[in-house]
Amino acid sequence: MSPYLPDMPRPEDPALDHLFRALTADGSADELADRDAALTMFRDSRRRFRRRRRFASSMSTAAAVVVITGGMAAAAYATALPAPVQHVAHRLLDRIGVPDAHRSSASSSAHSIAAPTPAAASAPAIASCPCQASRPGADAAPNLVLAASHVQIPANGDDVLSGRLAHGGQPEPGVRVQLFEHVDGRPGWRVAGSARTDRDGDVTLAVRHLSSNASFRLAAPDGTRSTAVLITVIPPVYLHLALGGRPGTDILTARAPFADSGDAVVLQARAGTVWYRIGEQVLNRDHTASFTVLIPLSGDSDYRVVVPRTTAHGSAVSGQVRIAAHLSRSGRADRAGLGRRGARQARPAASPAAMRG
Amino acid sequence: MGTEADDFDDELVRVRSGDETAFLRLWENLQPRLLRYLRVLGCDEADDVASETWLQVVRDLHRFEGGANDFRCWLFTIGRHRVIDASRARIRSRDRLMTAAVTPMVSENPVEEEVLGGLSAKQAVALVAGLSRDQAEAVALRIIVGLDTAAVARILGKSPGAVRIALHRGLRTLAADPRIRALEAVDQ
Repeated sequence: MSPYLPDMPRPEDPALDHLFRALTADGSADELADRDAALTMFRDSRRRFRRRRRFASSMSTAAAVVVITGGMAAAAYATALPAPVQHVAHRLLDRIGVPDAHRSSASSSAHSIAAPTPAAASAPAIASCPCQASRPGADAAPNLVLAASHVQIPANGDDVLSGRLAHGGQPEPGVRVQLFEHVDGRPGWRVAGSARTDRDGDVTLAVRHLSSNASFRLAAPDGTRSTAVLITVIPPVYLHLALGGRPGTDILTARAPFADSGDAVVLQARAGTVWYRIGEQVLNRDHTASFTVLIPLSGDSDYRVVVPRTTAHGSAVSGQVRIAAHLSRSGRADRAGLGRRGARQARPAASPAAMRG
Repeated sequence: MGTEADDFDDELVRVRSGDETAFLRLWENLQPRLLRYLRVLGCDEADDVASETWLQVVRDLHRFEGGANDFRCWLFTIGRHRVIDASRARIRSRDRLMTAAVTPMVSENPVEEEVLGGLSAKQAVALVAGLSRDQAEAVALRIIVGLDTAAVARILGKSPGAVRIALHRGLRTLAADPRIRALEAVDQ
């Protein structure tokens, strides 16, 4: 190893020449003793990296399949596919109301749903199967189907449910159907509402202020029932930063007003692109949970909280909060002529919660 | 004929693609300097901190972009942060660490032995560690690591001028050290 690297100053004093040579000498056996351990670490790290890449790749593929399948289903639902493809899609996806090709243009207006609620405009129409030959015997029994506009909604939000009643492939108009609700974690079904089918056999019902997960199904007077549709509620989670009680600490307070007291709250910190679990608390009676975190000496730290899903709600994640490093914070405070406390109080609060299913 | 920077870039590409031989060459070239730098900072557990530093480097290597100088800068910045984390975790004062780093050289290697046996890397590191923190870091990053003044200034969060002054004062202090002067006398 050359004692002088590029751009290294040559010692002005000859006495320093010895020092420079010693400082830049080749590594001793002691200094290179961890060679095998370093190699093992490199191998392990590469193996983990390859595994992560494979996992990310497979997830991308799965996501692509979901997107393509979903896109095909949406196109089929909108009758936007070529006739042969539309017919195949109809055969496969009849249960969710994909119409057949030869009926698409003629029935587009007939499929509009009578909307007793203002929100009904966003509800998907559900078509019955007009293709008798494709499903022999399908017309033998009445058919009642139900779909939700959104299967996941923010807590205290509204949703629209759309149903269709048909018998022998023909719509059943003027039949009063009942909507039953089953709230997760509670026994039994209760009547949540009712409506009369219109001339296309369609019915639309709105459910309002859902604060916990619930399943819905329709029932006709003759006992015909639809399959249940689950609507998952996502509680908003807010994360706030405050001064810690002890020097060198901050307090992160999570608030989830629509989650239940006793629900878990997980604090996560980000390292690169990965979020790591730091700690866990439970929501107290005022739906908050607090975490004391150390102020980093160098490098800012990003935190967020996750409220895992329960029977009552889906999982939710807060927005992230950045805690500035002690050193940079002090530097900023000095430059601004503020004390450390002043600099910390000037920092804005956490952003509103983002939600995740 | 490729330049040193080109060679390094090629080496880095090989390391990224998982070439173990290339990684070992890189490690053997930089590990001794990393250990010396960490010891100048007063790190008692230089071997452990160096391992953590390399772990992070290998983990984030796919995100690194730059040449040889940038890589050295990145590696030693990570090392510096790990030292700060370690010292915070152990709640030790810098003075205590510095004392611990300097003491063995004085007690175990009297001036006469250093003169006769020449200056070892360990002794040289202890001499640099005896400087003030700013001077020691400037000398270590400039001489041991071989970074240019601008890179040292970026790592330390100081102006290039402040780094030059700290380097100059540090080298002047070292040149006046009796152990260094004794080595010069032997040469003459």
